[in-house]
Amino acid sequence: MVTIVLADDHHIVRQGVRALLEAEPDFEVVAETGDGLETLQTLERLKPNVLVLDLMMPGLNGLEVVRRASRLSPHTRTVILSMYADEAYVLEALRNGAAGYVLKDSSATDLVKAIREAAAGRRYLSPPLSDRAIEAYREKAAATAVDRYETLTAREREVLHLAAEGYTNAEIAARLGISQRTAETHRAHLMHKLGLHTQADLIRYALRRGIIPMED
Amino acid sequence: MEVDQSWGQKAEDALGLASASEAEKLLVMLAATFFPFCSDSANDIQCAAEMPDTTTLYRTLVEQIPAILFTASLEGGISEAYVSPQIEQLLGFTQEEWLNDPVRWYQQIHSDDKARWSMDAAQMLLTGEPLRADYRVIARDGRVVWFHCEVKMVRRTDGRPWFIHGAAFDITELKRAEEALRRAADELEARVEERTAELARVNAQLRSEIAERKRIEEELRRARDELEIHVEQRTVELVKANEALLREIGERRRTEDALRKSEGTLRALFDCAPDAIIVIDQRGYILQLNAQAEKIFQYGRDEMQNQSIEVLLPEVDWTSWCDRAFHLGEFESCGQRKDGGLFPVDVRLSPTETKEGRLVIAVIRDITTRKQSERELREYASRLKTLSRRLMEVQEVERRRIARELHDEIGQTLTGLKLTLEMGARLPREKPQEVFGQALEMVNGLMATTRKISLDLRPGVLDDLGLLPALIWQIEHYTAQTRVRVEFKHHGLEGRRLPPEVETAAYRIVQEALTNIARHAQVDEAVVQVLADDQTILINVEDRGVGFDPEVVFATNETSGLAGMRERAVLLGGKLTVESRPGGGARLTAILKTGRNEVAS
Repeated sequence: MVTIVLADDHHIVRQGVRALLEAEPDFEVVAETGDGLETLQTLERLKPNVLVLDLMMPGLNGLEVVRRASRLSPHTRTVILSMYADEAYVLEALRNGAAGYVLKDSSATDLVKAIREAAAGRRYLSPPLSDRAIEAYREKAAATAVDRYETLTAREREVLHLAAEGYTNAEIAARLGISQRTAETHRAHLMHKLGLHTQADLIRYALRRGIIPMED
Repeated sequence: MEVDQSWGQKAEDALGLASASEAEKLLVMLAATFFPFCSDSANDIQCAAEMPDTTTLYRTLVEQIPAILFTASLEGGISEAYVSPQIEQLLGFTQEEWLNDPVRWYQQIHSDDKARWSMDAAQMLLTGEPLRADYRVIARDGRVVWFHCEVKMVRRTDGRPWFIHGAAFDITELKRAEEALRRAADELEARVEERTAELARVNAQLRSEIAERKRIEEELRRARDELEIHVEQRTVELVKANEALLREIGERRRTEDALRKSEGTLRALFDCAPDAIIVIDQRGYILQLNAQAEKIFQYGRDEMQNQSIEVLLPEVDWTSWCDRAFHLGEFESCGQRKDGGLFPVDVRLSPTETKEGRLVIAVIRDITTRKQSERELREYASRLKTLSRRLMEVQEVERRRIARELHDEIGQTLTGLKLTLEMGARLPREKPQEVFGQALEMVNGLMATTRKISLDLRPGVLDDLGLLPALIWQIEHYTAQTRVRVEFKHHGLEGRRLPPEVETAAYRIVQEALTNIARHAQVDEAVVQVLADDQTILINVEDRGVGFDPEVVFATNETSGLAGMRERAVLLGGKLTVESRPGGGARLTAILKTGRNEVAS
């Protein structure tokens, strides 16, 4: 017998899902809950085999519920029931300890299958979700090397080069034919964008970047 | 065989054998003396006699020593019995010559050394001690040759002196070297002495010079001290004179100050006033003015005095103004500086009756800054009004869109669903499958539509998962809808949540920028960069499209969302700049502060 706790804030959804699950002879829905905190209390008390959890729960976000559930009741496997097919959600849910992820618009048999797989200690993602898609997303979400220099405007680059060569704001303004005020603003912006704070930082950056030559 | 036989014994043994000639016997003995290793053969003189080769050997040995060997009999005075042939080489006399003249050897001793030789020889003959000394001998050609002589006396068995034998070594070179060395040493010593004497002389001279200099310095110092005393005396006199003068000046000034005091206080107040104060007579001519008046109109005080007030306030019609001055206390007008520049002023007039007649005091304030602030405020208000109007418009557009979507998509589908289900209810019990299938399809469609509407309004992913997943989601959907590919680079966002207002602003700024690109830029590529560090988040959206003139776009307040985006950035203590020119692509950069407490209220 697979014991199940059903957590969804919509009564009508719970009713539908319960009817679906009770059609399976070896499934038993031992409790229903309507918000996150209540779900956690129930889990701790009943320690079911499977928790079927709506991702969007009042009280406590479903993702947070999964995270805490795996601590409160380590043997309970969680199957997420979600509107969102977005890989970001799936990845986050799996990271937090979910065993299955089922889309609300997938077929009813999909949920049953997910519960069986989860209870058996395996992972289940309902189609069209796939490990490959999640991996692709994970790559997309990995930080890329971003060159801050690329974010400078043409004017800011000119000012950076002149400032690195030691020109004052007044001299830069004169050379570029802009007002001193504007030159100051450009300099402040570029320092900001490059994460520099002092003139020494600026020189160091320029040296590292090869904007000014390394010799003495 | 005895090896330690005395010399005398050996000689006697040798001489006792008469088979060899006297000279040869002596020769053998000589050799035995200088070549002790041959003593065995010397003792076995019989053997020697039987083997004439031995004599030859000794002769050869003796004659090869680099010295003169000699022997002389002492019977009947000292006469040479043998001399080795080296004598010829050293002194120029042949062996025969030398031996044939029994006294030659004595004759050839240097006259200065003869006495010494005699003393030394007598000593040897008396004591039997060997003679060791250096003598000079005159060679055949008159050269002086130094010899070192080693001579021994041999006695007969009864004790009488029998003969002497010895060797003379040529030490002329050595002597010469010694002499040269001595001379050199003497010379050196002489030189040292000479130099020492010279040094002593120079030292003495220096000492006397130093003494002289000291004396002169002492005199100079005395002279200078005297001068200083003079100067000091004069300075003291001068200081006294100065003090007297200062006292005098001070007294005079105090007197003058006392006289000016009441007038001065008023004048100071007059000049300190932050407003220009001008006293005008009834005709409108300037009588008096304060420092501020000089400053704001940029005239010198003298230039303004007796000028008409109309020079400073050109918009004022003095005639009518003067009539009404008493009624018009305060008004705004326009001031004119010396350089012709105009600026807004606030004018306040107070009439006053004096002995000279009625005067008017005009208090004029430069209100350029106030006017500018007012203008900025007005502009800000107008921008706000525009924004709020736009906000309402946008809201209305959104509402219309949502209403339409609800009606067109959800409402229509629901109607369809209702009809389908009603039809299903009327069907016989065994045939509802097909109807259920249709209904399920409609429900799935409804769910998708609802989700789409909800996401368009505000993506849950932004609240649930944060900025990075939301941007990834947004960019994916953007590309799907617009066919504009986006290169998305980011750093510092992974696994990080920022304050909700920052996340929302960043999300909306990227959304607005991308929307603009899709609408106006006419490109199929864009770059989005988002960099977050501890304090700021930097957003950079770029395209190589047709570009635009940012001045124009920002100036017309109602444009797209650029102004709105800038407002958002400013609200978060940040900045938003747009760099673009027609035909040159566009780059939007926003920097927002990420610290929650730094967010502007």
